[in-house]
Amino acid sequence: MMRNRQIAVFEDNDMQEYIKNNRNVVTPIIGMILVILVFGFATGWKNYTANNLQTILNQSYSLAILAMGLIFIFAHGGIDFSCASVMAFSGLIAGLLMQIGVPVVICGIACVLVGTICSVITGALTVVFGVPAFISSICMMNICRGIVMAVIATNAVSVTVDVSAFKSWPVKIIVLIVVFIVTTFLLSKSLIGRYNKAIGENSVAAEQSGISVKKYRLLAYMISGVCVGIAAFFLLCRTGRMATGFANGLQLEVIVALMLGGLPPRGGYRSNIVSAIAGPLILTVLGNGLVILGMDDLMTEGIKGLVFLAVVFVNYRGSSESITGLFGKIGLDSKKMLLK
Amino acid sequence: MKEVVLKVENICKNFGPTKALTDVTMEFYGGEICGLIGENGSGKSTLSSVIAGIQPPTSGVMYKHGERYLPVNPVDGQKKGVAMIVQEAGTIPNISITDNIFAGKEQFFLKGPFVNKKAMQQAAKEALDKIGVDRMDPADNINVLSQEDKKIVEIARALDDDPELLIVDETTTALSVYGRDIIYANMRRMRDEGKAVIIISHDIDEIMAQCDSVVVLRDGVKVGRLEKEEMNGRAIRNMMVGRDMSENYYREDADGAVSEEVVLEASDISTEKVLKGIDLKLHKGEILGIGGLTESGMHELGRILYGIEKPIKGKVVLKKRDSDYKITNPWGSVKHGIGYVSKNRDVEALLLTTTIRNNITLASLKKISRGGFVSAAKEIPMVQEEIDRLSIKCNSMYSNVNSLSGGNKQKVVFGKWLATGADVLILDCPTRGVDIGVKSAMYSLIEELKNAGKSIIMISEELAELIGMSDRILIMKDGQFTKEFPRNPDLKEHDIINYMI
Ligand SMILES: Nc1ncnc2c1ncn2[C@@H]1O[C@H](COP(=O)(O)OP(=O)(O)OP(=O)(O)O)[C@@H](O)[C@H]1O
Ligand SMILES: [Mg+2]
Repeated sequence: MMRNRQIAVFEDNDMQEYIKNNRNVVTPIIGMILVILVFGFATGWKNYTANNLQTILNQSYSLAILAMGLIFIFAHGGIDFSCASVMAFSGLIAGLLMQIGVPVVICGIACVLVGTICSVITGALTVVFGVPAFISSICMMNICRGIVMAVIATNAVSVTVDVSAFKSWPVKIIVLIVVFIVTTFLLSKSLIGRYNKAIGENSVAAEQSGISVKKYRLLAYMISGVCVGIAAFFLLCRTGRMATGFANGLQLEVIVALMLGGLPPRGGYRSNIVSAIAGPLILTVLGNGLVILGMDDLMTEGIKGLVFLAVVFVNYRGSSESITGLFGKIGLDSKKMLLK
Repeated sequence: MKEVVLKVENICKNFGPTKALTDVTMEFYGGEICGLIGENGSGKSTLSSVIAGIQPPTSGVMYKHGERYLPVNPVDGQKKGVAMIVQEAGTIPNISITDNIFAGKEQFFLKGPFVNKKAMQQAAKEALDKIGVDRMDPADNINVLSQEDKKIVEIARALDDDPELLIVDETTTALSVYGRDIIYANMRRMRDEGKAVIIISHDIDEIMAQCDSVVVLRDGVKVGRLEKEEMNGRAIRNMMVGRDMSENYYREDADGAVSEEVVLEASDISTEKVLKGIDLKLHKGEILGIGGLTESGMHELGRILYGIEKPIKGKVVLKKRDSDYKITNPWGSVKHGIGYVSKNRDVEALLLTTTIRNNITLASLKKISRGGFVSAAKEIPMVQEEIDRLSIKCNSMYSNVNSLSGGNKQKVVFGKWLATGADVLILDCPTRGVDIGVKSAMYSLIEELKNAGKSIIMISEELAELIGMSDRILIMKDGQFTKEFPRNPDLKEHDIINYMI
């Protein structure tokens, strides 16, 4: 009789090892629940009124969508600082198209396309031409932001058509769930996800095992770009107009959120989409809760910083993916460039 | 009676459910080179790392010269007179040779608050002189050195402060004759000075030639100790595996005839560094052995045949039934059914910090995926098959590769390529660090592959293995083939060596 091996071989020892390997997924979830409870308790559950809940969800929405894409770049050991500016640029294009009367859905698709193209260009600079990831993404960040500022200095761009469908929660939640499911499958089951994680573990070994490293790194940028475009469109619909500071600051917040969510700074097989949900929620509930408790902005930023340090310390202490990973990556990149 | 330098008593070491060492008690004597042998995963590296202070034992005590000895870390161990050369790469990348030799000992070179670089470099030069090496400049960055020279730097580091006990963990397999001689000479010097040396190796001939006594471990338990007089290959082997092992583990046939069909052809391969116009034809169902010294260029040739490196002249072509495919990159090679086992295992072949499963299927993911998605229903049996076939000793397929013993890591690499079902396998030192039992299993696997019509290039520094397995042996020297031997199991190593040096 044929035994179902897949089930038969998953025994206790497999379970133990499996749990050991996935600790960085469990901790952020616990952290998220804790933060949600602690701030509910501290504010007398005032922070979860319908109104404030909406604020929290709105803030974490863009972050979560961005993070789910960015994970693919992080998985192969890359970094990207350009996503907020690319969001602004693709939002700008979508807004301009709306103003000349293009149907909303087409505008949305254009937004996603522009985001994807920008991201792939950043990726190509890094992957094909060998510019360190953080440099190429900073370049893209400045270019996109510059264009946005130049354009709206002369003509105001705002949403002139009816986008209420894209402002309604059911639609937004459905999109979020779809992106979550798709990215989860891509990261854990697809060649793109598996290969990018393998590249993050050891790019030399990955290449020698027959992975076309450049191609798959570029695909990671592509996925990230799609997410950037989606996040941009929903943000544009929500805010109703394009401003010079559109989405500004998200580029760093999303990285902080991912680290809070337990993503290993060096990428690799421990990268998990859970980080992109837990991280943004922790970050926004925390920030929002502190404001409700009457902290001023500066204090809030300071406390967020401390929590970040604490989490990173707990998560990465004693492991090979030390906190220096994130900064080491930047350092190493710049050294490589200096040598060139 | 010889003086006991170190005594370990009832040492146990557990890693979760894995019992790596169980109640190990033994003594190491001054003026003696002691061999430590056992199958892969029998606990040799674990025992030596406990002695060197790299990890603490779960229970048990150690005595040095009769006094309690409990190193808290390797630096402490070294201070207390125990030095170890580890199985894996042990140098720190990106810094100079000098800094590597004196890492953690900078305080001895202070001049005011700063490190006196000059003095340190001078001392590094002396440390290298002391072990008889003059072919490197201590000011150089460690990255420019070959793997072998990096090991030599580790030796200089270990021997710099005159340890009373030196542990050499499977270092010699990675070295050429030059490096080996340096290690042997230093081991003997230490013995003559009345100090103790422990050497770990899977090469029984080497153990018999170098050691005054040998201790055998099996599954974390000490099974016995043999003195010089009692040592013989058969006795040691039997003690290691616990049953009678035949001495002959190579192919038995003497038939070197292979089909006329050429599957891989290299023509006029030249590189800037070594290779000078190499021509090579690999036939279907052939085991082609390539032998030579490390620096002969045979490892580069392997990399070029697989497409990792590009030659400045010449090309490699895979002959397919309908058309030819020119090899230019590894992913193309894998797609067209070529596999490659790298000599540099930890750096080039393994994803150390992830699971055995992810490693074994890495090169086959495309094969077991549909529409870009990997099928777990195919992946898990594939992993299990390789674990069983190679008897990889692990807690689970979800264990991290860096929790495996050296030989078992090598099996994972081998398994990765067996899983692809490649038609052409380029194996660069495939049996490095694996024990004799597994070696013999690998040899019969290779023979099975041959019989199934697959073609194999075996690049190796072990002549016995080439003679035992190949249908044809090509000997390389200074980037050129100097001699071709047809299959002849009675060929002697010294007949070949002349063409190598
Ligand atoms: N860090 C670790 N975590 C879990 N298990 C480990 C760890 N280190 C070693 N082991 C296990 O302990 C056992 C002994 O390993 P050890 O490295 O000492 O073997 P070895 O005798 O040196 O083998 P080899 O000849 O292959 O190098 C193995 O089963 C190995 O899987
Ligand atoms: Mg070992």
